Amino acid sequence: MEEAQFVIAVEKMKMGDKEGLREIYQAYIGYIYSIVYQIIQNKENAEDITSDFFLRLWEKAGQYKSENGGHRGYLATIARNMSIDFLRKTGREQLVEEQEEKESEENEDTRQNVELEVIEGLSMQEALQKLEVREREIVHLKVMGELTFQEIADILSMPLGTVTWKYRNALDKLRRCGYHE
Amino acid sequence: MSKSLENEYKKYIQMETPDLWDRIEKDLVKSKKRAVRRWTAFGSLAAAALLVVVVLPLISGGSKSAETSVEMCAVDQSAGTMREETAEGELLITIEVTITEMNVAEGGVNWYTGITREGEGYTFTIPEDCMIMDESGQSTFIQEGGCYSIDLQEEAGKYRAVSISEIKD
Repeated sequence: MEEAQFVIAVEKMKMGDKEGLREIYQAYIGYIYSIVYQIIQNKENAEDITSDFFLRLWEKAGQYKSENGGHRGYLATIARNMSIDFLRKTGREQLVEEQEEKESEENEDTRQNVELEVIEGLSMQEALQKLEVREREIVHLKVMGELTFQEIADILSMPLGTVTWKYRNALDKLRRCGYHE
Repeated sequence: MSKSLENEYKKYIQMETPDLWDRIEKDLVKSKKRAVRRWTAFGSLAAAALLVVVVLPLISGGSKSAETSVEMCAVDQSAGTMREETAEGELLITIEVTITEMNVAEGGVNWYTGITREGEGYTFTIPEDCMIMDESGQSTFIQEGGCYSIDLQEEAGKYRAVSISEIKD
């Protein structure tokens, strides 16, 4: 969805026309659900938060300002904040960090193999499992959100150099699994 | 054979994403109803305030000879409490209280107790249509230990909340 189309959809929402929300939903449900799921790691809770996300978008339609950058970054920021708030409320914030560390250690050997070997014929799901959590987030924001590296760095609160390095690293791994940019 | 990352990733995301539209649409209807109720409550309060501040003084001042003229009195009994008596003899009280007891079921209804800063206790019911607002005008819940400004109406010696606004420190 182009910025102008998004603004029109927001204007519809401001006038109480739910078709505006439906248009945004159709364009971004996958984008938003994946952002939430990557943080929450639980389908049921991710569905709840994604539903709440679209309701919040409806209620706060009047607050969107087009000049504050692209809408995809705006949507990603809200979705991430809602997910992190959820983890904070349920006391699971620590758990995600621990999981990231554990996953990182467990996958170390596998990743080293991927770096050395070419493992073609893997499904996308299998290929994504070869990536670190942060690498998956960056690939998602880049491919689905079409964001710049600077926008991704701002959303993830990471240095720009780290984002580009992790993205290149992720692409190398995916290339060895049979997927090219 | 090498596949396009972008195409395959988009296909994968589409496959993995649940359809939540029906659920969102249902919640949207509930959200709209809540908003309408909120604005209705605000509208009623605003109309009542307008009546008290503008219309009633005009009536009472403009027709002094009329026996039916409405006489309002507002007496500050303490810093956080205001009492008003309507023409019908109903007592309207605005209090600022800390909730000390909640949901005490008695006589088929739930009772709430609040204490003013001066230590005066009020027990009252909260009807279903009574809106509870936080400082930003959003709907909220009453909690034990919370501070609220409450408009109470007296009916046959019992208090019923008309509107409740949360007070933050």
